[in-house]
Amino acid sequence: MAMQLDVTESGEAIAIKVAGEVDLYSSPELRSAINQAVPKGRRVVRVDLAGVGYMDSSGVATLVEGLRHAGEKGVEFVLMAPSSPVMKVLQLSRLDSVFNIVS
Amino acid sequence: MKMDLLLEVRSEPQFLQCARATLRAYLTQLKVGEERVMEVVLAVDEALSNCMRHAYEGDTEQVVRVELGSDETAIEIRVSDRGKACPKEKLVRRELAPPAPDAVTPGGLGIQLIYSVFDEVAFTTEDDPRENRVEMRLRRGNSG
Repeated sequence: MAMQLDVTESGEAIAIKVAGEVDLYSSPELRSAINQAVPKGRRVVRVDLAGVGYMDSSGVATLVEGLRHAGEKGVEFVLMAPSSPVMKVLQLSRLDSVFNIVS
Repeated sequence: MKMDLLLEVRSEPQFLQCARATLRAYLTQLKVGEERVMEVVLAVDEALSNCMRHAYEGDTEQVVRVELGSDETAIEIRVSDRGKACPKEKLVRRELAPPAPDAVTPGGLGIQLIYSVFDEVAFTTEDDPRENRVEMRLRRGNSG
C-alpha cells in the first residue's frame, strides 16, 4: 500500500498520521511533512505510526532527523502506537530506546 | 543450491514495493515464519535500496538483480548490480548499540540490518569489477 499522510493541528500539537509503506521512495514525503511541522511553534509533534505496514532504514533515518530537528527547536517529538513492522526495524536498529514512544 | 526465482528490478524506488511483495510471497510459500519474513524482507529491501541509491547513484534506468534459491538446509538470496562499488570499509559488520541520534546514517544502518537478519552475509568488493553482489543465507532451522 502506498504511503498516505494526514496532518492535523490542534492546540499545542501537530499530529502526522502515517499509513502504508515507508521506504526509499516514500520517506522523502514524510521527511518533508515532519520538517514543515517542527518549526510551526507547537509544543509537540506526534507521528502516528499505527497504520504503517512497512518501514525501512530510510524511514528510521527520517524519524531520527525529525527527533534531532525537534530537539533543536525545543519541540517534543513523540512516536504514537508504532505498528509491529515499525517496532521491528527500530529494535533491529537498536533505536527503540532513543525515541519517546507512546503505545 | 538451485535457483527458484529471478527478479530484475528497474532501479526506480517506486518498484521496491513490488519486489517486497514478491519476496513475501516466496518466503511464505517456503513456510518461513511471519516474524522472519518481516526481517528478511527488510534486509533484502535494504540491499536493493543500497544498489539504487549508492551503486547507481539515483539513475533510475539501471537494473538490480535478485536471485532467490533454497534447498532443505537454507534459503539463499543474492542481490547484484553493475553500478559503482561500495568502499570496503562501509561493508564491515559493527555492533549496533543504542546510539545517540546524531550517530545514525541511513546508508550505514541498512548494511548492519542485513548482517543482523541473516546467518551468513558475503559482499563482493571493488576487487571484482564485473558486479557488486551481496549473498545472504538463512539456515532453515532459523527460518521458523
